[in-house]
Amino acid sequence: MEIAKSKLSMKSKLGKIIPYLYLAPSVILVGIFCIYSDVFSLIVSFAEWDGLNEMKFIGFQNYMNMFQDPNFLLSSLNTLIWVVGTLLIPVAIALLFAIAITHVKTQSFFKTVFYLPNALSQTIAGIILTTILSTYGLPHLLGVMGFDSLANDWLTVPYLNTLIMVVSSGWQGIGLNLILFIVGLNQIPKEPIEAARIEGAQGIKLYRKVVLPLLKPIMLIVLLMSLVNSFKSFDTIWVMTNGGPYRTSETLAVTMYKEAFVNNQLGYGSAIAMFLSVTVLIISWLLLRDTFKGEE
Amino acid sequence: MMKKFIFTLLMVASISILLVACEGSSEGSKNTVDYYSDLADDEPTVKKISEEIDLPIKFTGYSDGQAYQTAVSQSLGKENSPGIFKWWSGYRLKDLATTGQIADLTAEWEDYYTEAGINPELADAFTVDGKVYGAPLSVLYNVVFYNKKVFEEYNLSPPETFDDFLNIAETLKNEGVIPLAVKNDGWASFVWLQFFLGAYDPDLYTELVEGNVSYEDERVVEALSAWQSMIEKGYFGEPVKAVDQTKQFAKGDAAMTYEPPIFIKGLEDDYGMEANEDYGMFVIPSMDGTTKPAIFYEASPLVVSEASSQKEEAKEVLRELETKDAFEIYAKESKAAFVEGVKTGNEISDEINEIANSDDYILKLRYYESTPSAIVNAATENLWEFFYNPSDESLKKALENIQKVADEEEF
Amino acid sequence: MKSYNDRSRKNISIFLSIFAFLWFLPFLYVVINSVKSRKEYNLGEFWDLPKSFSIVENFVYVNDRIDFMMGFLNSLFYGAIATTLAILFASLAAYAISSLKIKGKMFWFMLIYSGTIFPFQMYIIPIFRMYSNVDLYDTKIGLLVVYTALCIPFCLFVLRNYFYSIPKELVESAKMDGASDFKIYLSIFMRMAKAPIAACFLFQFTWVWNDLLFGLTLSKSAEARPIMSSLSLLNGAAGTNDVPSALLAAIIASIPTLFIFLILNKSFNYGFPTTSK
Repeated sequence: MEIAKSKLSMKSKLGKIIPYLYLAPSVILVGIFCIYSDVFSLIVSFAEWDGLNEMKFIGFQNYMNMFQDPNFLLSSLNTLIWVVGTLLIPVAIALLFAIAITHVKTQSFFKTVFYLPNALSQTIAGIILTTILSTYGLPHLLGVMGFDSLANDWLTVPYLNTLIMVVSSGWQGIGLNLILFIVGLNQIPKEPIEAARIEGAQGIKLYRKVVLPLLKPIMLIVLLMSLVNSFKSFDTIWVMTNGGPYRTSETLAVTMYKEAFVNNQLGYGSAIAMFLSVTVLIISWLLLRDTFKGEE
Repeated sequence: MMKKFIFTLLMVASISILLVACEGSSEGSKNTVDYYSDLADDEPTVKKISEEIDLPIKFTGYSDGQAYQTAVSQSLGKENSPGIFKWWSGYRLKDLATTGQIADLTAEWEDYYTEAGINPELADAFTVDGKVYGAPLSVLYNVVFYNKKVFEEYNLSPPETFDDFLNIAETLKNEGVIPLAVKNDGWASFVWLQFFLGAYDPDLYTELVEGNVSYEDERVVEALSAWQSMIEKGYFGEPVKAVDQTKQFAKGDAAMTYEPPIFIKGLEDDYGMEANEDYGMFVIPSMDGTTKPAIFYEASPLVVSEASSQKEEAKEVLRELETKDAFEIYAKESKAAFVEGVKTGNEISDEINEIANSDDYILKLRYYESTPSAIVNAATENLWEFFYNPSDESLKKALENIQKVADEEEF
Repeated sequence: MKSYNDRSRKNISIFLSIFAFLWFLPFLYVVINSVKSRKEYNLGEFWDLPKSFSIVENFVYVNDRIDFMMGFLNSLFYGAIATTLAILFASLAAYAISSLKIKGKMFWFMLIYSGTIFPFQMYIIPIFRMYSNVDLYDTKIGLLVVYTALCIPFCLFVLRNYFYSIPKELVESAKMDGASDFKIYLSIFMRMAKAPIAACFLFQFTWVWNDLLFGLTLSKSAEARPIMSSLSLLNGAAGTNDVPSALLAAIIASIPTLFIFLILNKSFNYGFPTTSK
C-alpha cells in the first residue's frame, strides 16, 4: 500500500517534469549560444577591453560615455528613421501589394517577382544596388542624358543616403512580409466579409473594418519581425556606405560594430549592444504580453 | 506538394550527411607552419613561394578584416595559434606586443634578415620598446599616379614645384577633368593630411604624430589651408568607391590619384593599361622648394605567435621568406617592391622602389600607423567632415576635435 | 471580393506591373553584366548590351579563385539540417508552451525568443572563444550547431502563434480517446501546421544560406566554409575587382533559395489560420 502510493507520487512527479523536457533542446541550445553570449557582452559592457589585453572594469563608465557621445545620439536617430521606414515600406507597402495581388489572376507571377530580391543575401543585394546607385551607375546615366546636377554619387550625400538605403532595403525585404500577408488574406473566411458587404461596407472601409482586424495575428508576426530587424539594421548599411560619410549614416548596430571591432573598444560596443537589446526586448514584450493573458 | 517537399528535404539531408562522412581530416604534417593573413588574395603567391623555395607553409586567407582580427587576437596565447600571421605596424603592433604574445625577432633581424639584404632601417616601423617584433611583408610607398594620355592631351608634364602642381590642377579643372580622384573609404581622409603636411614640412609631420605639436598649431593650420583652398577650387573629385576611383583614372575622367603601387595591379588587370604608356607617377614637390620631398609608406609585418607550438619552425620559415628570392616572387604578383634590387616587372613600380631607396627623398611612416588609434579614428572622421564642408571654421573645428582626443592620449 | 469589376481589376494589374518592373530592374542589370568580359564591363557603361558572352570564362575565373562547389554543398548541408532540427526543437517547445502544463509560460517563451533580439555581431567573440576551447572552430558540426540554435527563436515565435490557435476541443477529444501528449503533438499539431512549418523552413533556410557573419568568423578552411563566405573571397584587394564574375557567382548562389521558395509557394495555401485574442 505504502509502496504503491509513493510510486504513484513518483509517477505524478515525473508527469510534471515531462512537459519541461519538450522545452529542453531549445532552451539548452539557445542558452549555450545566445544567453551565454548575452551575459558575456553584459560583463564586457562594464569593462574597458581591446580584445587583446586584460579587461579593466570601469563600472558604468561606458554607459555614461554613451549618452554623451554625439555619434551615439545621431545613430539612435538614424535607427529611428530605419524603424519608421521599415514600417512604411516592408510593412505598409507590402500590405498594399498583398491586397492588390489577391485581386488579380496572376498571383504567383507577382508573388515571385516581388520575392525575387529576397532570394539574394542582404550583402549581395547591397553590392548590386551600390553599383547601380554610385558614380558609374544611374547617376552617370542621368549625367549622360543631360541631368548634370544629378550626376554625383548619391550614396555619399549625408542624410539622403539613409533614405536611399531604407528604400533599398525595402526593395530587398518586402518579399517575406508580402508572402505572409497573402497567406493571411487568402485564409480569411468569406462569411464575415460577405456579411459586411451586405451591410454596405465597400473598398477601404471594408478593409479597415473587417479585413484588417482579421489579419491581426499575421500582422503581429510581420510587425514584430520587421521591428526587430529594423532595430538591428546592419548589413545593408555596412555594404552601401559603411556608415559614412563621417558617420552620418550609422545605425546603432553599425556604431556598435565600429566601436567594438574597428576601434577595438569592445566594452563600449557591448554597452551599445545592451542598450539596443533592452529596447527591442521591451517593445517585444509590449506587443506580445496580450497574447499571454489568461495563459497561466 | 508536401510529400514532394519532404522528399526533397530528405534527399538534401542524405546527400549532406554523405558529404560530412566523406570529410577527411585536413591537418597537415607536424612541421607545417600556419600562415594567417587578411590578404586573401596572397594565397596563390604564398603557394608559389612555398613551392619554389620548398617551405612547409599552410596559408589561410580571411576576406574580412574584422573576422581576421577576431580569429587571431582570440587565439593568441594558445598552442594552436598560427605560427606566422600578418599584422599592422605602428600602434597596432604595439598593442599586440604589450600582451607578450608575439615573439621578439630582434636576433633574427641581426642574424638573418639584414644579411639577406633587407634594409635594417625598416625595423624601426616594427620596433616596440627597443625590440623588433615584425619581419617586413610589404612596404608600400605612396605616390601620385597620373594618366599620361590626359596629361599629353593638355600638354602637361609632372610638376617640378608645388606651384606647378597647382597650375596643372587648374588647367585640368578648366578642361572639365577631375584633377585628383578621391576614394571614400572611411579611413582614407588621413592620406591628404599627410600629403599636405609632407609637402609643407616633413619635420612638422613628425612632431605632430609624436605629440610634440598641437593639431591647432598655426603651421598645421597653414599646411591644411592649402588643402582647403584646393578643395574649394574644385581640384578634388567627389569621394567615390575605391573601384570607381580606379575607373575614373583609367577612363581619363580623373587625371591623378594618390596611391600605393598596388594600385597598378588594378590598372593592369582590369583595364589593360601599360606603364609609361598610359600612366606615370611623381612625388609631390615640397612647398618651399628646398626641402627634400617626402614619401609616405605603409609597412605590414609578419609576426610570430609566442605560444604557438610552431614557433621555432615559424622562425625558420621566416628566414627563408625574408630573402630577395622570396620577395622577387611576391613583387611580381603584387606589383610592389621595397627591397633594393628586387624587380616587379613593372617599370613604374620599379621606379618607385628605386627613388624610395635613394637619398633624394625623405621617408615617413604614414599617419595611420604612426599615430595612436584613438587619434586616427577621430582624425579620419573629422577630416572627412571638413572635406565635405570646407571652410576656415570647419577646418578649425576639425583640428580642435582631433586635439581634444590627442590631449587624452599617451604617446 | 468577387464582385470587383473588370476595370478596377485591370487598373490593379497595371499598377502591380509597373512596380513589378521596377522590382525587376536591378536583376536586368545583373543578368546583362554577368555575361560580359571583365574589360568590357570596366571600360563600357553598365547599360551597354553585352558584346561577348563570357559566361564560361567568368565561371572558370570564379572556380579558380574559390571552391564554389564545396561552399555550395556546405551551405546546402547547413541550411537543410539546421533548419529541420530547429523546426523540430522549436515545435516541441512551442507545443509545451501552448498546451502542456508548465509554469511561467511567458518566461520560457521570452527566454527562447530573446535569442533573436540581441545583435548577432556581438556573438562573434564569445562563440569564437568557446569554439576554440572545445575544438569546434572551423568544423562543419560547429557551424551546424550555431545555425540550429539561432534558427530556434524565430521558429518558436511563429509556431507558438499558430499552435495557440488550434481549437482546444480537438486536444480535449483526443485526450478522451487516450492519446498521449506526444501523440497529440504529432498527429494534431504537427499535421495541422504544414503552412507555418513551410514558412519557417523557407525563412530560416534563406537566413542560413545568406549568413556571412558566422561563416566568416567560425570557419577558415574551404572544408567548412559556407557559400557566402566563399563568395566574399572574390573581393580583390586595392580596388581590383572582376565584377561580371562576381555577379555570375551571386546569381548561381541565389538559385537554391529561389528554388525552395518556388517549391514551398503552393504549400502556403494549405492554411495558416492563426487567431488572435
